[in-house]
Amino acid sequence: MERAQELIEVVTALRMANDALLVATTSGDVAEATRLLRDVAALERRRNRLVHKSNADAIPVATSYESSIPLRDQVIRALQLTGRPSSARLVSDVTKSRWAERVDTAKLSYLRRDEARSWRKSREVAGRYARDVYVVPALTYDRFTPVRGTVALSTWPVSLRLIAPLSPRVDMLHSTVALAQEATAVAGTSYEAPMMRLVARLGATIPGVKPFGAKPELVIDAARSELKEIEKTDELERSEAAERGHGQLDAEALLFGTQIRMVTSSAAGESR
Amino acid sequence: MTNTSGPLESFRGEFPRQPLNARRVAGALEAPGCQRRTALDAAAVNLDKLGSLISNSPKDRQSPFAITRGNQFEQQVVANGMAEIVSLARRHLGLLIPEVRQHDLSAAALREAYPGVTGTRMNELRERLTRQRAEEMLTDPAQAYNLIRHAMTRLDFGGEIVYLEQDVLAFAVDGRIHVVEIKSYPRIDGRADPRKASATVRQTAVYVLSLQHLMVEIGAPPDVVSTTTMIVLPENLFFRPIAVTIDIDMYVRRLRRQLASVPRAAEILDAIPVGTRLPAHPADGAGADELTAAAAAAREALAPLPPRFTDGCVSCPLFHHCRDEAEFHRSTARLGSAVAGACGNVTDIAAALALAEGRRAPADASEAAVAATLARGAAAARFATGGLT
Repeated sequence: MERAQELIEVVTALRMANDALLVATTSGDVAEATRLLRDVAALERRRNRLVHKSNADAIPVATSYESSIPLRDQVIRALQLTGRPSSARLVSDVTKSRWAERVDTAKLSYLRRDEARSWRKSREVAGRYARDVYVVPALTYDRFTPVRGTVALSTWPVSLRLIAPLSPRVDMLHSTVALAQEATAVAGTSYEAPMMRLVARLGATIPGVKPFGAKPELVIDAARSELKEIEKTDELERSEAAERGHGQLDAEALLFGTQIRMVTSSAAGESR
Repeated sequence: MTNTSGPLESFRGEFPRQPLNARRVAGALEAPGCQRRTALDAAAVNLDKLGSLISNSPKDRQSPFAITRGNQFEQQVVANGMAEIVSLARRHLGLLIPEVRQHDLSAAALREAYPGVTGTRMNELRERLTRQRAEEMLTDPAQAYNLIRHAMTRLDFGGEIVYLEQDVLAFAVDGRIHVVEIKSYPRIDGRADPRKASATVRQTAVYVLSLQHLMVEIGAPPDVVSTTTMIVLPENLFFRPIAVTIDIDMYVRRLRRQLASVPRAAEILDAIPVGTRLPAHPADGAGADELTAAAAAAREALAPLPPRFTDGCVSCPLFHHCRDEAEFHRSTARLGSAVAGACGNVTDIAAALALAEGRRAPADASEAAVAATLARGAAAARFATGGLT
């Protein structure tokens, strides 16, 4: 209450100082104008301090240069938005457009390794805290090896984390639909324009969408009609592969993939 | 991997080796009939190092910014499930909507699955996987991949196996295999830099030819590989990709003829004095004396190999050396292919001038014909310059 009173006083003083500054400047009194300018600056600082104190719990806006949000959380958040296995590039584009933050994609491979280590530790040590969700690589549908530069979430069903021949396209279309819906949801905020640009760029490769400035609703319709033609086959291939994977692989390989070891130069051998 | 024949190996001696790539094979088309280049290519000599050694100047390297730009453009085009390629291939190559089955055979992608496989073994692995994918296209087209990123094929260049990496292979179920090449030089107002465009066409011809060989090896007709290729370029000054399709059948046939004549490289080397060989390349930081000695030895080794200096030589690393040599011998080739062609078998500038001015009698019928042409030219030149004074 007291603070509110002080704020009113400061703002009133600021207004008066500003008016006096206007008079001094128009009348050409340089010394007076300089003094008033200093007063105004001091009063503005006081006002800002008071305002900040009264909304102490408000989250400061992250700049695009430094982000306090850990890489892991950024990636998880982006993947939850796209809803499908995504390339490092898409993760970084989404984070930039939706949250105006940068993701260092070069660090993604370290993240993947750390996640695998953390998961293994939580298995070895009984009672150790296991994370709710891990960032895992997407896996190839035939050999369950990691797909380069493509990440997924451990909470997704196995079939969704496997990449069959049609999956890159299917996933891209699904992600585009999700992003277009998000773009509509953030309409009116400062994130709207970059999100619209991202959606229009992704949408431009879908048949029936104009190359520039497509509306999200049109992109969603076009993506869905292309999905109608290819999604069934993709789902079938992925779920068959997932069944095979459940039969052949242990829990770790199902999450983090296998590696093919070359037995001879001519035969690709057993999986680990 | 190498089964380089004896004379080629011994000619290269201790000089650094450089595996051939598509650009260098395509270079064979730029310098038709140059025995020097053919022999050096077949011996897999590192031409860049040889060129900078004998002309005593560091090689002009491609700008790192240009390389970065090229990589960025390529990454953008293949990002998000090759989205841009998918849409361009649908428009220009007639791929149907369901034909978006895709696969990545690039070294970086395979390293995830096959850790520890590197170098030649990686190339062999990629080549074998490409062959398997191609077989699938023939046996079960509906289940085969439609877009293969960084496929790898091989080509026999005078006994040397060259591994070639295509940017993208596109395969339509009822159609054929197309080579897609991604380049980062722009197409401005519907026109690309003609020199870069023709280099791209020749390079793409190498890919098409090697794929045709692959088809023959797995028992399929070579025309499964279409000679219509798709080149992806940035449009105007944007980074937005557009595509042009171009039929390069003529270049493929030319290249095939050219390659058929490569085995003669060993014969070229048989004809030069026994024991001619390139010197060892001086180590980094070698003294000036050592460099000069090595350059002199290299020039001496090259001397018995007859060059054919033409307009296409500019892109060859030995260009400066061959040009100086042509100038030193006062060869008509130094004046460009058009002049050299007009002078026929009169290859010496002094002799040509003598014929033109009538100071020398033609020795035979062909010289007489050249003399008549040159005399007409000389008369025209006299008339033109005389008119000015």
